[in-house]
Amino acid sequence: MPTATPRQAHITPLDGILVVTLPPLLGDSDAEHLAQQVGERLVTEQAHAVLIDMTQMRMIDSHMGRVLNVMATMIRLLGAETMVAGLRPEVAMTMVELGMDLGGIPAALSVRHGLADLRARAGRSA
Amino acid sequence: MKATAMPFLHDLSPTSLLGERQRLLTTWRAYLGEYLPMPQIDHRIVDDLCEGLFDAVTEAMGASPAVLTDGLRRLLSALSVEFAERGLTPSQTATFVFSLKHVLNEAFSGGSVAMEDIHKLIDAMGLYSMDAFINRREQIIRRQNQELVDLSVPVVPLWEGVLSLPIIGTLDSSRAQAITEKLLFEIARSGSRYAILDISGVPTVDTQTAQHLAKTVAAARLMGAECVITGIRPAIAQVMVSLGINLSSIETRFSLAEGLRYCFGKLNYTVVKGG
Amino acid sequence: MRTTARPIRATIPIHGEESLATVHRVVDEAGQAMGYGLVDQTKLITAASELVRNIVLYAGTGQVDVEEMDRGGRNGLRLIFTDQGPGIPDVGRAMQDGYSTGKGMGLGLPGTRRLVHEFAIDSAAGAGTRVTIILWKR
Repeated sequence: MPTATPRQAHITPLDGILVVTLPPLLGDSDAEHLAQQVGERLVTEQAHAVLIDMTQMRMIDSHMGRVLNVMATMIRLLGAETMVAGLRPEVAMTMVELGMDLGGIPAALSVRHGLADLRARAGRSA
Repeated sequence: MKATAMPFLHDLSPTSLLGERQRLLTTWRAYLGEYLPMPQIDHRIVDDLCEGLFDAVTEAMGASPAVLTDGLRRLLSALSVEFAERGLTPSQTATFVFSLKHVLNEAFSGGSVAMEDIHKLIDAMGLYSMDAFINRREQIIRRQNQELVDLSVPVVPLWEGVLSLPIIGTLDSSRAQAITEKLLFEIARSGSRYAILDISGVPTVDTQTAQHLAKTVAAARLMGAECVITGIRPAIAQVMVSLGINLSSIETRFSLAEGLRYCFGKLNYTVVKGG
Repeated sequence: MRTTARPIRATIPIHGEESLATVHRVVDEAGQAMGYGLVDQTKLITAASELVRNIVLYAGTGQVDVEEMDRGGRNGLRLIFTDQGPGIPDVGRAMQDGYSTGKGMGLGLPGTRRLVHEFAIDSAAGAGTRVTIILWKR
């Protein structure tokens, strides 16, 4: 039986990449603070990229989609890049049916794929 | 079973039904054996159904007028499920229920209020069993459709990181949904970055088909996989152009081989001739 | 697997954004009790999420009624979203893709309609809004 599922995000810095792990269902108030938190950590950790780990996310509605888009725009303004990883098939299908996209944020199949992609990009641009 | 017709008993009532239970059940079974042979069903199941219905009708008669009780509904549903799964027809199902009337008609004097009441009840039971039968059949048909759809979606790994999906036949909404689902789950399971959707087996591509394909590609892209569509025959390409279908945001190649070559290029693979 | 033979029935009051978590939980449990597949379960929660956000955004308060359906041997869940808010003056236009009243809810109604099998909307200016959705079990 589902007990109290966590509704908060976790941020883990990893070799210049900020891994943001989103919970199964992100609470609204937490979503509002997320961009701000990520922005602050990006600066303190001097990260060059943010990898948003969606592996656990059970749903993305249009509000959550906008939160992600706003966050990606802010990250770009801070000179870093954004990538999403591990979006579940059922979530992807539902988003497309709803008429959403992620505004061109690149995606990776898993956190492992995403980290490899981001490191390859950093290597190329260095 | 005219030969073994019983003499008229007293008036029809729950008590008389209870008293003549064994005799009436024997008559009913004999009647069914002669007029409604059901070789598909084990006779023990038929016996159980007869006894169950008989007892439930007896009980329902306690109320006046007799109504379809929950117990009767459950029994009739079980009977209909059994009949539907054994391949009997709706009319056989209803005939089975209606045959109880004949048994009662032969055993009790007609014209009584109780007899009219029980006729109405058995009519309602017959109709209920037909509805239940048809519902069950529709369930079976839906399940078989789903199984057919599942069977017709083969996702084949072509190379490490490259899946292929040969789509054969018309792409209607439910198939498109099943195909998308299967492909996306396979992409996630295998961690494949590329998927080749080969549509050379699709007879025609209309606006709706193109939309289904575009949705599949968009969902795969959100997950971090890229789709290549191959097997667009010149005639189909012409139709697509005239319909104003634009797949320009999607990678397309003429043949499956070309599609695979494209994926190899993206994966930084080079194909070298040996020797 | 159904853990209870009792038909599913629940009413969730909507007070504001904090009600969303309750709706997620109740709809999730109802969907699991129905035995939906993963994709349909996700569509159901997402549709409920969109419609609750509409209530919160335009009416402030309202309620969601969750009820199990049985029509001709098909089972499903019916969700009714009711509010006494300002209502939608032009329902036809609100159901067109890309339509928005300016608060950034362009995907809301037409998008949500594509997630479910049946979708009905009943609204008029000043008379509140009722949206009914049904998702059948395949």
